[in-house]
Amino acid sequence: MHDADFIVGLKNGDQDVFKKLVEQHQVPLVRLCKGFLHDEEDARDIVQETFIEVFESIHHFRQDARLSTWLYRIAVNKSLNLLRKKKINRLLVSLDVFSAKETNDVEYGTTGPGQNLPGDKLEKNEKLKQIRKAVDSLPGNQRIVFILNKYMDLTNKEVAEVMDISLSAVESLMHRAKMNLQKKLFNLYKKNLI
Amino acid sequence: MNCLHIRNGLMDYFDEKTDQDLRLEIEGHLATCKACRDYSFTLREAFQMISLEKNIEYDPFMFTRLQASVIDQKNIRRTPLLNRLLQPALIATFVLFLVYAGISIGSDYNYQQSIITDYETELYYLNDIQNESYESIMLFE
Repeated sequence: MHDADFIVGLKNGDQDVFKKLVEQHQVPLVRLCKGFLHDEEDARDIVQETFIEVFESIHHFRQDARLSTWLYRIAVNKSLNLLRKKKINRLLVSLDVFSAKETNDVEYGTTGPGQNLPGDKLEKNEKLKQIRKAVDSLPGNQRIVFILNKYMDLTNKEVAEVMDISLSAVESLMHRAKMNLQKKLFNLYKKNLI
Repeated sequence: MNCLHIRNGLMDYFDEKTDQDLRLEIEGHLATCKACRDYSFTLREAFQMISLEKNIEYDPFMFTRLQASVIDQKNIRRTPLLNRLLQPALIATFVLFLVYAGISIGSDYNYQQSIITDYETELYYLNDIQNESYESIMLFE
């Protein structure tokens, strides 16, 4: 189905068209949000909110980009907003000394029911936690470019459309992201953390 | 080609974004340098872990939930503005009425108390014995 058909159908409130949109974009969007949030439940919640916003705001869509680009932009912004909210909550909770450790572990998914795991699985979880931390520590736009490229498999051109920046800016951000990430991962490797 | 240069090129090498010459140099170096080779395995493993995060299952029920959310929000918007304002207005009026009733009952109670106090005061003055001290009564008797 083409963008034009989706747009007309959504403007008419056509539920079948909406269903097709959800079928087509659900998995890539959850993948994208999971790249930021590292939690599949949160990612699915954000994707739901994204679809609702698209359905309700379709009349405001200026059609200056593809529909998928608009979807990804909304999902990225909502993910970043949720991260900001969580950061503020963590700051408030960290003022309570007794719950500080628990907060850090929940953030990177190492507490909870899965923690009585065999040694190698626990070790893999720890490595994944460190890698996630390294990715999350990238500066803002570098992180977005990296996640769009690695989690969504978008080309640099597609990333430029989503972020509304030039192709050369994307290439520069991607290069710097890789350099920074490489340094961080090497440091973790030297400390035997990955 | 030193190890730092090799490490910096590994990510592009894994993404197959290096040119032919650089790719051959990296492969040549990795064949001879154990430290870089070990690190390259670790880095590849790290990216494989990132790739595993991309495994997402399609949720067949998401559309049903979305439909329900969209219908709920439409129903909220369809409810006339008057009805949406009426309930809080009625509750506010009821609360104000209760406050007013409480104040009225309280001030009526104070008035009753003041009448009784006045009456007692009148009685007090009719019976001048209260003006006399007990000692003076005893002395005279």
